[in-house]
Amino acid sequence: MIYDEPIFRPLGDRYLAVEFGDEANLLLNFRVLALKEALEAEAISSVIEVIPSLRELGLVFDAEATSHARLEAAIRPLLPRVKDLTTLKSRYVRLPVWYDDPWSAETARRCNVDKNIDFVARCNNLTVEQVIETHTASDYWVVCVGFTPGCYFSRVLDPSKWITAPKYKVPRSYTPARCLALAGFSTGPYPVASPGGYQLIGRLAVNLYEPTPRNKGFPEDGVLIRAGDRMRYYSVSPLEYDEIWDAVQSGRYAYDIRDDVFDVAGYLKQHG
Amino acid sequence: MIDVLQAGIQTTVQDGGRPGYLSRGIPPAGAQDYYALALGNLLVGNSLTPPPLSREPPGDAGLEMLLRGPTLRFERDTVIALTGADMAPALDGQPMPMFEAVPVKAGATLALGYVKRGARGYLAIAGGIDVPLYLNSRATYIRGSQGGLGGRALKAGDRLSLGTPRASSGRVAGRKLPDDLAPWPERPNEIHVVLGPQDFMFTPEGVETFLGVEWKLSPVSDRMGMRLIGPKLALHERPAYLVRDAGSGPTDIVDDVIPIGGIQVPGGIEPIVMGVENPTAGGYAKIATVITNDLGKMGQLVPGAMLRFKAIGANQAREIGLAQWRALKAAEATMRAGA
Repeated sequence: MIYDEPIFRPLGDRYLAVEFGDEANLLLNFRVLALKEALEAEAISSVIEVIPSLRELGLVFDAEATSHARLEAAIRPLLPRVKDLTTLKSRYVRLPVWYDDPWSAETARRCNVDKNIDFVARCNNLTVEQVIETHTASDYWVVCVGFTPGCYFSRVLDPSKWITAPKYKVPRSYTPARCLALAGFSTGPYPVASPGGYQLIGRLAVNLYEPTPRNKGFPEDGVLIRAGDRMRYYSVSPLEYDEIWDAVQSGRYAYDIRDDVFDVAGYLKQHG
Repeated sequence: MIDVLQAGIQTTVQDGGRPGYLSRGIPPAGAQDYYALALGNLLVGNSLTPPPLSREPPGDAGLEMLLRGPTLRFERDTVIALTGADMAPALDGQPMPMFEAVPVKAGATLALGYVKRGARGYLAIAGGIDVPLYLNSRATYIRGSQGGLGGRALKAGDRLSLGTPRASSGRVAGRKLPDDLAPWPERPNEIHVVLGPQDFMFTPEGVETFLGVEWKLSPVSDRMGMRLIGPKLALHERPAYLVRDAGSGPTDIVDDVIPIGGIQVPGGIEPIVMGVENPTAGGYAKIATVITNDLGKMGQLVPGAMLRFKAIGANQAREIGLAQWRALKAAEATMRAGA
């Protein structure tokens, strides 16, 4: 559902959530990010942190300076701007991936399940080669960063390149760092080794989280990707992977990231 | 310096935590019971520990000690205070009072045992523990391996540096809590919540059950989440588009923000109260959120302890939170002016 007017919900005593709907629809995320931009432009001083999710903007506020009701009143005048949004700031990020890599295969073997990329191919009536072709043929929109440091959820922008698969029935206790995975609507990485349930399709040749930033482009918190970035994954060979990973480890890798603006109105006209 | 002779079950360096990075997936960490650490810092003349996710600086760092405390040796004269869980403290073999600033001599050994009351003890030391700042805080984020001492719990053989005390030890030694700052909550097993954001997915009977029964704290609990054992909560049927977009589980939702204190109920069973190392986003319905003050109370319950939830309004919750913080600040001002 897409709500006519967003619903304001308290999350305890120091968060307020502005919820635009409850389904997995990119339009909701565009509104979330438009409100984030509007709040940043207004610089409402009682807001301590702005946390986008796919369909809702979470706000942590200064309980001394405002209340849930007063903050809601301060946000309401910004809502027309959100409804009429036409563009959003959106960086364009290209990421090298070794698809069908040996670490993902080994992880599947240890969990006694099929190689995940084979399973994804079967779920979508494709060959493994076609999975890679399709996955590298569209941009992905980062709807939200979260779960663990640097992890994100991204959704395909070209609906004709849609690939999906169900999550693991029983989550893995271990996923190697930098594995790239998909399930449901989302493609996402495991920036650090962690449990997980997404189907592993490849391994990134670059870091997305550097707690002690080594490479250019990382902010002080070490998290490279933000909500509203567009990702384009490209396939690299094992030798290319090694070369890139060497550069990343020695802190001399130049990430392929450029500032850009996304034409939301044009996109919605075509796909909305 | 402090030498760690025995580490205890899980002893970590904590302060008020690091707000500002939730949108990057980084939780605040910091003391699970901020009020207890704040009392200790108040007693030894340190800067106060603020509630999590506030705009205040994180205050001086102390130790959070889970279930069984460490044994520590002090290399120089200092003043310490123990608050939170009672771990039967002994200073050079003699029982040491809690909730009081106690001078210790160079070479003295502090031994802490298994908890007799509460689950997390706090040790404040004049000048605070000096570990490198990570994103403006010294708090240990255990699951992310960041902050504190090497991003981990203490081990035997570790050495901790101390900061420079703000007040002379003669001034603070012997200090006790003012009457209006209770060392213990009056009703430790009554946990206040604000209902929502997905309480509407539960039937009225489901919400009534949630607020009506006694829940038991599961041993599968840590600073990320505390699991509860109790009855299944009745849910409404979800519309077909949510089954498509979010998954087949009865409480599956399209991912949204999980606040600290958020109570997820995967499948309608075993609610999980998110701690200060919470995952910042997730896809299960949250029936309610524990208020900031009572996150500390939750942190003082031992596995197997029983608790009840009580719903209050969001603004009332905000005012309760402010009142506690203001009482701490007022006590700090009085002590500075008085002693």
